[in-house]
Amino acid sequence: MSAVLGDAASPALLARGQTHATVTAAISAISLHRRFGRYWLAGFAIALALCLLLVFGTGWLLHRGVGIWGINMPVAWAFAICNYVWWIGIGMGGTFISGALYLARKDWRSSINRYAEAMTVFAVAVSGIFPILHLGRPWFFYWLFPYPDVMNVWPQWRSSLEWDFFAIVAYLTVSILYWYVGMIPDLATLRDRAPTLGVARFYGLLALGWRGEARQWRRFETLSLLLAGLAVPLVFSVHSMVALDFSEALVPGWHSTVFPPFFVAGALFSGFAMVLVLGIPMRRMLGLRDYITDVHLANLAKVLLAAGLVVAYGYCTEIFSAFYSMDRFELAVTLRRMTGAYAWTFWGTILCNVLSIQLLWSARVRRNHAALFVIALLVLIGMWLERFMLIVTSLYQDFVPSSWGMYYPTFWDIAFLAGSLGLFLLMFLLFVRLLPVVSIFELRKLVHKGEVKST
Amino acid sequence: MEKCTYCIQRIETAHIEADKANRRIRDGEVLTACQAACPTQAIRFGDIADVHSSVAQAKSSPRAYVMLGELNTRPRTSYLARLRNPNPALADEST
Repeated sequence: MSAVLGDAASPALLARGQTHATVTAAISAISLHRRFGRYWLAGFAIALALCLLLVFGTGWLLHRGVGIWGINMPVAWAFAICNYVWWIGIGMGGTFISGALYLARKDWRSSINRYAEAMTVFAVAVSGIFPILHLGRPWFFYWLFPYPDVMNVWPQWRSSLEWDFFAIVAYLTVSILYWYVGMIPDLATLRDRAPTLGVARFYGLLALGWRGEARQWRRFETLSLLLAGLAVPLVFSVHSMVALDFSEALVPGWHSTVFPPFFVAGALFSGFAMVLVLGIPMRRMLGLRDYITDVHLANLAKVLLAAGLVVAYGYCTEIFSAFYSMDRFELAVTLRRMTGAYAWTFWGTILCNVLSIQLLWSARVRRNHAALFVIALLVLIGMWLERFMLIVTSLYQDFVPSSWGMYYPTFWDIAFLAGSLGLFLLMFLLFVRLLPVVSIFELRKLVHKGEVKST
Repeated sequence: MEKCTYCIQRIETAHIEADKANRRIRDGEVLTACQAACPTQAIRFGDIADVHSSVAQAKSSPRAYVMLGELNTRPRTSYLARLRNPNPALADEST
């Protein structure tokens, strides 16, 4: 029976000879004693430089307006919206791994859920930048909030922008709560093992007075269950909402009822890919091979393949329904995606998202970490290209030929994409350095289960 | 570039006057700026819900068409197709 389906703690989820003490010591040492070398510093420097680019870009955008991007009629949505959808989609994978696998009692989530949740929080935070900067006057973004103001301005509930705002705020709140609550017992472990008083105070404040009493554990378990139950439906509702941003428009290629499930599958797909892209280097550099094992990576690869097949089915449905509808505009957009000026984005998407993952059918590829890393990276690129393809090819040539036009990215379009990657990397590197990257108490549970099983 | 406001300020002025007298806005009471400026009087503006208004009459003409009306966006602006005779041979018959 494969480990994905098995519910008993499989020994392969943890290297042999692990005890409560070794698990706790190894993971807490990463935050407390480890000296981060030049790779971490180099990564941090690059991330910081890209962040600065984002800060300068934002300043320039506030000064000059969204015209610094290549957007103009008819293509008024491009890189910023692609980045938004891409980042929020990446976030979905993390919540799904920690929430849905928690509800399904899958043990293999134990050592990857923490960094997957961190990835979610950071990705959603980064995604939230883009809809706000994409407003014509970003400094009035708080008008999106339905607060009782003297001007009687009330949000336009029919606007997808308003839905975006509520989706991001709800999702960010729940994912931060879920991430933080799950970390409290581990923060207390770090507090108790802290070498200096300052460090103990830092983790002590974050641990909120956790003492590990049975009463506290009971409440903790209840809260974790409730938050997981809240987070998992949000994965589906939030990304369905993102899809409705497009479906509610009448533009051919967007006006489609298949978009919500199709987008959710795409979001999970890119999220799993990001978990692999972050996890493979992290386990190597932090020496986490005993905890994030080949089984974890192989399971992630299987889930990636499954999500990818659903996405591929979505592409087929899109093409089929265009031909089935016989609507000349739908047909034109579908054919233009394959043959028009941006055809390379369509074929690039197919190559990265549909063809590359077929290698994952092979167990040898699933055990080869370099191959997994490359495939996951291709999926991330492919999912970004897919968003670009969906957005731009529908807009650049619509019903009225007199208003057709091309879109070309400017330097600032690329700078904001690079800057968002930098911001994400910066937050993730700080997370790796300061917080427990693997859930210590869940590993202890896994050790316990293994002991019970072997006796 | 700005979107046409359909001269909301002129509509509101007439609206207030009509409200004070407790009546509907009369046909022709609102004259949009483009309508006032058009030398050939090609533009008509009014209440399309009132079947007797001149704009509703023009809209019911078989020559009337709207842009992308098939998308059910209910466009406010209708156009009247130009009458042309592309076949000069037929012109003689009609005279």
